Amino acid sequence: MDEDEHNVDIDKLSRLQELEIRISELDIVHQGSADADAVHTQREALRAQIDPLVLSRFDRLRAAGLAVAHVRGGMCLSCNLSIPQGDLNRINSGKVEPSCPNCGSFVHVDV
Amino acid sequence: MLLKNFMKADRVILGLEGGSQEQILRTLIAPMVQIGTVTDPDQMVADLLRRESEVTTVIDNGIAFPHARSNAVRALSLTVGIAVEGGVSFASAANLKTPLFFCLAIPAFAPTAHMRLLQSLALFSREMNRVERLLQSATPAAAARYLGNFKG
Ligand SMILES: [Zn+2]
Repeated sequence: MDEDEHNVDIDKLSRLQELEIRISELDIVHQGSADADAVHTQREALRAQIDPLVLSRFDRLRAAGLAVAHVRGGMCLSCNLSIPQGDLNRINSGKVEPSCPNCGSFVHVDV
Repeated sequence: MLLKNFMKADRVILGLEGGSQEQILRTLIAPMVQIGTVTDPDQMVADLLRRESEVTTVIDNGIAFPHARSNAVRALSLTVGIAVEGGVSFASAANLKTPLFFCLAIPAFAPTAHMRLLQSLALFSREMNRVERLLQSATPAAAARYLGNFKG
């Protein structure tokens, strides 16, 4: 990946994942009787704003579980492996895309 | 099996009184604050209110499942709220009273940790005989025991 630019907007991916989880929750709680149209509409609108290559990586990760994982204390909570401090610094400064070098999940670094 | 892990007498509130959505949510999360799974009650209530405003968590029979992912949550936790006789107003839809609340606090870092628990609670809530029996619980311990023994 180019060190100068990347197309990963972690806030949008986090929001997309939240909406997808929301849809699963609505299915469980309301058994399809809830008006989930608004959530589906939001989801589609958000997907349209995301780079297609990023989106296809997101979908592949989601098929196996979560696409966006949190990083706490330097550890990726998807694979439970540490991310080197240098990588974290580059992620935090926006120089490289926010993804785990171990498992490939997009990452949200908690303070 | 699974519900048992989340059900203790101190997670059950009997005689839950009516009030604003915020007041009810604040009451529901109090046990989580007490046991330390919710670290910031104001943040948690704000996250629950936001979630509730987007799509209601109240189902056809009035039972409410307020839940939200939050940075204020350290571990997945559940509070059961049994309302005063006749239920309390929670949903914006008029005339629908809520007799029972299942309030879930979900850690932001484990956003799907509650799915299995939510499925159990939803399944439990579909059978009104079960719900009625839970509502008749004489003590928090009895309610926790009954719900904890539900195999769903
Ligand atoms: Zn990882």
